[in-house]
Parts: sequence; C-alpha cells; structure tokens
Amino acid sequence: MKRHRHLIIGCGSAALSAVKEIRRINREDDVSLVTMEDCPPYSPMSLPYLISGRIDASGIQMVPEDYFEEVGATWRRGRRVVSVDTGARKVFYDNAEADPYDTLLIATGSDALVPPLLGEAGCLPFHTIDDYARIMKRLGRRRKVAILGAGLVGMELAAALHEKGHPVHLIDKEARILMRYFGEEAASRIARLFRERGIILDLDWGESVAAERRKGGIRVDFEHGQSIDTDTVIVCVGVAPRTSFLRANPIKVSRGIVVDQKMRTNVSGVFAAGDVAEAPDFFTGQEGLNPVLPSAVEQGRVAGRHMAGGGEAYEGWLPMNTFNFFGHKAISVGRFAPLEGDETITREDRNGREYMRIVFREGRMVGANFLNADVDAGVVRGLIMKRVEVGKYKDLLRKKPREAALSLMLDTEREDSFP
Amino acid sequence: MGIPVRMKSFYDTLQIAEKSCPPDCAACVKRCADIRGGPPSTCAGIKVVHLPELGVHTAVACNQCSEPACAENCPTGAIWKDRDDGVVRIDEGKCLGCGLCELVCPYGGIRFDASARKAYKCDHCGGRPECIDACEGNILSYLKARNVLKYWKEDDVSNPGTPLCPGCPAEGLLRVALRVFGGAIFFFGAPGCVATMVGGWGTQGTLRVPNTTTLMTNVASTMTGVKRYHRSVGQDVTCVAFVGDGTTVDVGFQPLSGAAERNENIIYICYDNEAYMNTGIQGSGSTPLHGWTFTTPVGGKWRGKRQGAKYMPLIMLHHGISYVATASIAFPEDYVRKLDKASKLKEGMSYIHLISPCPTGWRFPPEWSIRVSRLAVETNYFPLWEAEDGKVRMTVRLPQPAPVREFTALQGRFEHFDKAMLDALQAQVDKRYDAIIGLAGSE
Repeated sequence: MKRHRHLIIGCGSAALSAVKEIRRINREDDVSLVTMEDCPPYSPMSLPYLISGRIDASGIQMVPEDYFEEVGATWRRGRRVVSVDTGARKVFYDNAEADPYDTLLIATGSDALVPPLLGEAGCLPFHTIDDYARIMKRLGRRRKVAILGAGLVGMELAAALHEKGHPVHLIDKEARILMRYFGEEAASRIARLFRERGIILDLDWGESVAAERRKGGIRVDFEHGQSIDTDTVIVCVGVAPRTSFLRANPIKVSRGIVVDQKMRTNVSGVFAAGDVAEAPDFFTGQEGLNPVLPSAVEQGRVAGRHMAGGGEAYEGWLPMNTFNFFGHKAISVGRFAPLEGDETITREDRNGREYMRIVFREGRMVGANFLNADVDAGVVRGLIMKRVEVGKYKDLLRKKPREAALSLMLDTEREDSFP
Repeated sequence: MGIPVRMKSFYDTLQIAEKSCPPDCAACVKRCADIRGGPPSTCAGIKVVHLPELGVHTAVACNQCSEPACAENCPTGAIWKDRDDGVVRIDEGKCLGCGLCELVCPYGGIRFDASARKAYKCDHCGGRPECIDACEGNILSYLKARNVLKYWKEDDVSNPGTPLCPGCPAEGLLRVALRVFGGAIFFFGAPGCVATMVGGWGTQGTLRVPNTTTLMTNVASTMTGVKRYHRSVGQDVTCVAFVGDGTTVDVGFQPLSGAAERNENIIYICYDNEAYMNTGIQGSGSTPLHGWTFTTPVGGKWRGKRQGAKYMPLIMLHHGISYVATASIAFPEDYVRKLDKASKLKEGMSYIHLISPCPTGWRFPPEWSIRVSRLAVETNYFPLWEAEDGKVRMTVRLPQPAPVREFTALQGRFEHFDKAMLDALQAQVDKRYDAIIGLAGSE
C-alpha cells in the first residue's frame, strides 16, 4: 500500500506540534517539513531574549539536532514555496522543483508589517532571526534606538534594549499601549513602570507620514506633528499571515487562511494552523487571527490529529499573553475588556505596582488582566476554558485570588472524576 | 516542544490525600523553599491553599503530566519529561524566563518568578520528596511505582486500542498480565468480552503472541494438550488463559476441574465481571445474591439473583492445585507479585481470580472502575489472598473493613436493595471472609 504523504510548510510551533501529533497516531505515514528559513526551528518569542543577551543563539532551538530523524520526518530548510496546485496536490518551490502531497498543512506563520515608506528609509522589522542579526549589526555602530509600536513585541524589545544599555524611545500612534491585551488601568501602570526606568514613551503621535535616511541615521515625521531623528528605527506595528504564495489559488484567504474547527481549509486535504490561520474564536466561534504561541501549538495539534485520522475538534482560541519587564509580570487572559452586562472585580495596591481585574459573564470568568498579582494565571485560564461557574468563590477571587482559583480548580477536577 | 518518546506505563507519584491539612500549616512549602534557598512565596514547588471561609485546607503540586502543557508550549524546549522517572524538569540553561509555562498550566503546577526570571516546579527531590517528611498532617505520601515496575518485562506484547466498553478494567488487567509474562507465552481465550480485544474485529488484535480462541467449553483441555505436546518434544512453553466468569464457573467448568485435578502446569486467569456481560448482562454462577441482571430481574416476585455466587477461588483451592490467588486492579503491587509467582511455577497449576467491575452491567460511571475495584476489597466483598501448595495467606489485611453498603451503593445493579437484602449480602460476605481467614489463620 502506498504510504500517505503529509507535507507541512513551515517549521514553527504549529508545524512541530502537528508532526508530534501525527506521529502519536501512527509511525507509518510519510511526514515532511519544508521551511524557507535556513536555520533550526526557533520561536520568535525567543528573539527579545537574544537581544538582551539572556540566552545565545544556540539556546533558542526548539528541538535537538537529531529530532526529525528521531521522529521519522524529513526536514528541508532554506526552500521557499512559490505556489500550491490543489488540483494536482503539488507544492512548487523557488528552485522549480515540486513535491506531491496527500494532505498539506500550511503553517507558514506571519510576516512583520512594515509600512513601505518606513522600509524604504531603512527602518528594520523585528520578527525573524535574520531581523535580529540585522538589528545587532546596526546597533553595534549606533546606540540610539526608536521603536515604533507599543504592543507586546515593541515593549519587550524596548525592555531588552534598555537592559543592554541602549537609550530607547518608544512611540505609538495611539494614546494607549498594549491595546490588544491590557485595559487602560493595567496599561497605564505598565507605562509608568517603563518611564520610571528611563525609557521615553511617547503616545498618540498618529501614523508615520514621512521618513528619510540622514547621515547614517533616520528621520521620521508623524501625523500629529512630532518627528524623530535617531540612529536606528525598529518597526513593531504587528504581523500579518504569510500567504503571498497563495495568490490565484482556491484556498480561501481572508485576513489569514480561513479554517474550521478541524483546521481544514475550504479545499479538501489542505489544513492551516498557527499565525497564518484564521480559526474560530473560543467565545464567538467567529474566525479570527490569534498569533500567539499557545494557539499555534494547539492548532497544530488539532491539524495533525485530523490529518492523520480524526478526533476531537478545536475549542477555539483564547487571546492570552504574558509579559515580563524589569522584574514585573503582566498577564492577559481571555476577554479582559468588560462588555455591557459583564461584572468585574478589581484589586489594586496604592503604589501602582499591583493590579488585577477579572471579568465575569453569567457567573463565569471570561477574562482577566494581572499585574504582579498573586495568582496562577494558568489556573484562571483553565477555568475560563472549562466555563466553570464560580458560585461561592466570586468574592474570594477578589480577596485571595490565588487560593480561590486553585480551590475552584480542585473542585472542578474532583467533580470531573466523581460526578 | 517536547519530543514524543515512549514513556513508561507509570511512575512514582507524590500523592496529596483528599483530607484537610492542619489550618494555616505550610510546613511543606517552607521545607521546599529551605532546600531551594529562596522565599516560600516564589520558589517552592508545592503550594498550600487555606480558605477557612469554605473549610478548605489543602496542598497543590505539579501532577507531572504525561503530556505536559508547560513542555509543549516552551519556546526553547527547556521543559521536558524525563522518561526514567516521569518527572517534568526545567533545563535552566535553556530557560528564557518568559513565564509562558505558568500561563498554560491549568493546575498551578509551575510558578514563574518575574523578579528572578525563573520558573519553579516540583521535581520529587530526585526520588525522595522532602515535603513528605515535613508534612504534619499526614497529607503527603510518595507512591512508588517501582514496586510494580520491577516485575515488568521490557517487551510490551500488546497493541494499542480497545474495543471494550469505556472504563472496563479487564483491559488494564490483561495488559498488566502481558507485561509481567512478556512475549514467551501461548495465550488462550474464549468467547467473552476480552475475546473481542484479543481477536480484534477482523482487523487488528491486541496480542503479539501466539494465541487461540477456543470454545467456552474446552479452554483448560486445549491448554493441557498444547502444553503436553510441547513438553513431549522438549519445549518449555508457558500457557496462559485469560477468560471470563461464564467460561470459568459455568460453561467450561468440567475441563477446568479436570485440569486442576491433574494439576496441569498451566496458568488460568479468570476476569470475573459477575455475569455474561458480552452477550448482554445475563446472570452467571458468579452473579451475587440479589444482584440484578436481565435474567435475574427485579420486579414481581424477583429481587435479583436468588442464590449467592459460587466462590471459585476456594473451589479451585480444594482441587489441591499448586497456586491460587485473587487480585484487583486497584492493588497493582499485589497483582503483579501474584502474576510473577504464577509465571515462575514450573510444576503444577496456577489459578488467579480477578475482580473486573463492569461499568455497563454493574451500572456505574466508567470513571469509577478503579474506585469500585478498590471498594470490593476494602469491604471484604472480594478479599485478596493467595495459597501456595494449599497454604492460604491474606495478602491484604484490613484493620477495619468498610460495610458492603459502600460497595453496593455505587452500583445500579443493587439499586433495589432494602435493608433485608443488604443484610443478607453482608452476612454472605462475612461468612465467606471468615472461611478464608479460618484457612489463613491469624498470622
């Protein structure tokens, strides 16, 4: 019998998770991965830690050298996919070669967004190991750095560069930082902690409207009248799914590749997972992007499972992230911004270092923001995902969040084992 | 990302008892932090939960998951599950200090300290958890799987998958037996639930050893023939039967009794689910007094089965065979020791009688199987004992057995029980237990 061929484009968290799941189901199918990057697999999450020097490049490999041999998969690096023929079930590469497949997983991740006018003026993105190398090369000669975009990546990078002794200027077009993950209260506290460290944080500058190279440096003008003149500009305004090779292809792409709860695209035999996929949201079931590592791992697992047979479907993605800076810990889980009809509990200290808000809907937790809070965020996340009713714990969750969440988790586990 | 390596079946476990810690006690946390030389609130691998408002006083530590979310989500693969001892470990040299592990663990088993940029979790102190010594309330204990694993053969001769009902302990009972016997056996089955596992459904069976499924009437005689043939040509083979109570106590009883009379060198294992479960829950000679089945119904003049169960282990003992034992999956150390003894017997017959609670026929939720298996023993409904050359010894002695009501209350097949029926069953349980203890002596 001909062996079933799984082909995976990409080699990040989603791809590796899919390989592992396929291998858990069987050892017989043919599994191969192809990736455009010419280096061992790594997560973009590691890059700020490379910048700060907490780890060196050899430490960020997600799997050991002999991993693919161990699991019986072939891995080809430095090979870019240029198109997919879903009718003939073939993938074409930049060297004019092609591979057939029976099932295809697209786990190509995302590209950093860089507005063309900034790119042309020499502003650098920060999303891949090549970006990291370029930044390091440039920083060797010039110390002053401006970062455009105060989202998580920009903030992490700012903290890392500050740790390395660079004067950092952080700029965002909006009046708030970390819009995607933190409410006003948590965000303003984080902003204050950044400024206390000597990082210049300027908000509400609007879009960049002009940029030009200047004597080895760069000048950028902004919509609301401000401008900067600095050595290096790094752009951290977000990421977009890497789907350009799917032009003129029947695979449905909206913002990302649209998939169902089995990570299937609209085309038979083609799956997508991770940053590139637009998968159902945990609360609404609406497709959307959620480019974070745990979603990639979970989506990769679900894709692998359905590529190799079948089984449980995807529960949907929950926004979440964790952010450490200068010894502080900020965590966002789920829908942290209350909607009409939601209840909230909050807790804060006087000196602005600790903050907690949990959002409830119909007696269940749906989201939270934590800043240096004494709580196991993973336990709260688990309780949200299990849609556990908090009942008698509601008041205790404010008073003793850590112990209340743990006790509620234990109750739930016990109920599951002895209904 | 965690590598898919083949794990062992089970590992040593740090057990946190489901009873209350002394209020405000944090001795375990303190000891753990002392060893690690840091503040208890950040570096301890165990946490206490004190909520006097709800009367909750307990402890929480890492479960050492078989598929740990912390490891699968670690961006540098710094967290990994150790195949040797099952402990989930952190490679500090590879740890970024990103804290993602804490966010993905739903059990509070790993803690990220942002100021030290370090993650902490329980590592069993290398096989001797110190928190147990510190525990003042006898809440913590360390269960050693090595007492079971030392009887394990390296080769697993069973395939994955089961066609049995969810929660059926017969699967686990069979797999454990196969791991102790290893690949050098001839396997005999007969029609019954486990036959579906052994033979598969026309696709893939469970066993990778020579096996045959005979009729229910001729298991022991077929084994005798195979054993004697090989012996006559100078080959030493181990013949193992794994069959149900219908085959054993009813349909196949005559040849079994004959083989026992001759003390054939075979291993005969009966998994007793106390009825003909495979054909749809009809009463067998092993169905208990007043127990419901479709042929011993409840209603009209009927109150379940009118007679008590035949007690096969003593019947086999009185045949004078070399080894008799009873076992339950809830007492794995006891079970594997008995399998090991049987496998080493070069002369004479071994008979092992297993309690195999049936979620489908006994009417209890699948996830209660181990609990019911344990309560069967703890109520003396199914005492654990063995007899080598007729000498009976209790292998599990209970200082204070629970009333049989605790066993029956979990099962729908006893739902119609009134006090009279319960008393009658309790009297039978006591009588049977006294008979065994009479043979075993007080020791």
